Amino acid sequence: MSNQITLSINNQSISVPAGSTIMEAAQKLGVSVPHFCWHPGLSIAGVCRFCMVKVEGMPKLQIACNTPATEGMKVDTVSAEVKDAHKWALEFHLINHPLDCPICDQAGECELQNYYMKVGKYQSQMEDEKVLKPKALDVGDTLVLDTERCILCSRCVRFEDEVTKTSTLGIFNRGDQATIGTYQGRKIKHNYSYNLADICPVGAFTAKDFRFKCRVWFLKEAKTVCPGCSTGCSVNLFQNSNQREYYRLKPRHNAEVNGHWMCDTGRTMYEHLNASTRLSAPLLNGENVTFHAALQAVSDATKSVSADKVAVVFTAQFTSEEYSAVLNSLKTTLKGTPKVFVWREETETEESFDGILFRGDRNPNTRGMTEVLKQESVGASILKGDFSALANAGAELTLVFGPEVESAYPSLAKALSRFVELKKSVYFGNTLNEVAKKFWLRIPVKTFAEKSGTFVNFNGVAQKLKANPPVYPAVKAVDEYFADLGKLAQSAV
Amino acid sequence: MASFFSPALNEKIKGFLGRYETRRSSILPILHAIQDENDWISKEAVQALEAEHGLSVVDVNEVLSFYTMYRKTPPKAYRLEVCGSISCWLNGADKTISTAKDYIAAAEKSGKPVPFECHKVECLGVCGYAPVALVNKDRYLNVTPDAAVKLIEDYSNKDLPAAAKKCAADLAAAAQKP
Repeated sequence: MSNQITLSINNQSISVPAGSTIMEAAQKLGVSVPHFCWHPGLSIAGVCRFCMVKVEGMPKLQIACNTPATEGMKVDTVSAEVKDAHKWALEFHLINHPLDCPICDQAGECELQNYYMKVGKYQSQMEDEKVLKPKALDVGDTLVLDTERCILCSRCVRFEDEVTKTSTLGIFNRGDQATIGTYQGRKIKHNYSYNLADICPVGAFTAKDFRFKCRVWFLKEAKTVCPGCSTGCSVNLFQNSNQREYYRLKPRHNAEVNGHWMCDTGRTMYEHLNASTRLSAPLLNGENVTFHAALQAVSDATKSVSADKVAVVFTAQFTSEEYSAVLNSLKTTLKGTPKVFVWREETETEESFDGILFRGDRNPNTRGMTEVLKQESVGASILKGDFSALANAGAELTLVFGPEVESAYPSLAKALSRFVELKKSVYFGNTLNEVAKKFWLRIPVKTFAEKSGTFVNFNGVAQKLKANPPVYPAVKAVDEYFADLGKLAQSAV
Repeated sequence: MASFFSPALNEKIKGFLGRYETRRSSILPILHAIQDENDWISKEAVQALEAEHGLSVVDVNEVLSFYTMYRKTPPKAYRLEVCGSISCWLNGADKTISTAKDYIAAAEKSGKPVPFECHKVECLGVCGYAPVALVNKDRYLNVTPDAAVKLIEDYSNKDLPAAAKKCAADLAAAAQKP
């Protein structure tokens, strides 16, 4: 193709689209070129001077991030000359860096620290005192800024200018006095602020939500999907597997869905996963029972009613697999189709969108649920603020599949109190909730972090969840419960 | 609400905003225009640029804090700026500066202060007539210590420049506010 050019990096040949930089070609080839200011989701600044590479025919070393690749270019990233340049560039970055890694929250995932171990000089030749700058500045509800650790890569300034277009941050003063900051103590106020802590290559921006809670090397990450809204950002979920404790979510690059970023609302999606907020045992008529007894109660209840006296209330926060398991299982045991309702939050503005990622539909699988219902040819009525359709259905058994992320349902308590009024209502949920105690039967379920399955986002992109070990091992996912119910029904026959 | 800037200055600012491809590019000349009229650039002026002309305070402050020739605190009416670069330094600029500073300090002490401050600045580009000095925007050549003292005395006897008067009036008005 004419718009492709071929160059060689460390004697390996690679074809890239014309106009690509050496850095992009190196990334494509899997050659790592050390860098600070370059970020694939932001514009090129070329200020850190760290990504030096040797280009044959050019008298001096060039920066890989801002040098366009040309046909037949021969690039070298490993020679002694290049390594020497990296070493000295790093020495200059460290002139005023406090090197307080032992008390720095970024330690373990700090690019400066990693490169220092890799290409650092170890013995600094600097004799002058380090310049002292403001530390531990409160720059918003989510972030703390330490300007001494900052290496002035300007990633955060470009993020504010280009992604959120809020332009709250700037580089003030000059020379060794230059600092990142906001104007006159103004705060960073937008729904994407944690991304600043992510893209900061050093510990200058740290997240209030995470700092000093856990060292990053104790965390294991699982590739999964954010359940916060119908965008369904690809994320990494970080768990301390020794403590069975979840600490945070970070975005995972997915060009189809979220690019490099995710919103602050999505970052809170670890809070409902930990044991202290979770249901652990089933509750029948207000008393704790075994999981077997709970399922037996459901099984018995389904035997004595006809299909049109059973109501199923879905929220769009379960996996597609769970919806089909519920519908198929009930169709078999009831020998007919139950009445299906879809419960939507009454204050929800489903179509709203903030222009970056966050959508008004706070359910991760609305599209997946709709597809399953269509596939099973089940018609569903919507319950949004008005529950009369359900009340008039005259159901003798109601199965309510409550939202996993309760913060997305501000009027949850009101809605639940309506379900409680019904005869024999069963609640499948995962959080401790006073109103849910009043259900005839309450069964705990797994969260998105613990089950396998699929979420289909607003755009029809299906993504798989990754199952971590469950916080409460006896708790199962909805599809697993209904498989057990099927077995119970068979053994009874 | 009344504008922070005078009508003439507002017109100037609008002219600069329309002159360049990006609005950010006009920050340098706008700040110079404000400094020429008010004698310095206050926080209020920066905030007024955002409120009245839609320039980001962060962008303005980045420029303002980078350049040392913008005055960020209220100055004296006259600034004697003596070149301290190599030619002037060899021809006794240091002596000129120390004499001028001593004269200003002595006047202060005697109870008859002169509206002057003295700074060492970088090359003023007239090395053939070293030492060179500026009083506000007027250039003077061969400024020996005696010449510096004479400059201070001459200017002190003149009426204050308009910008200095406005600066003093603004400060007095600000002090009146609770």
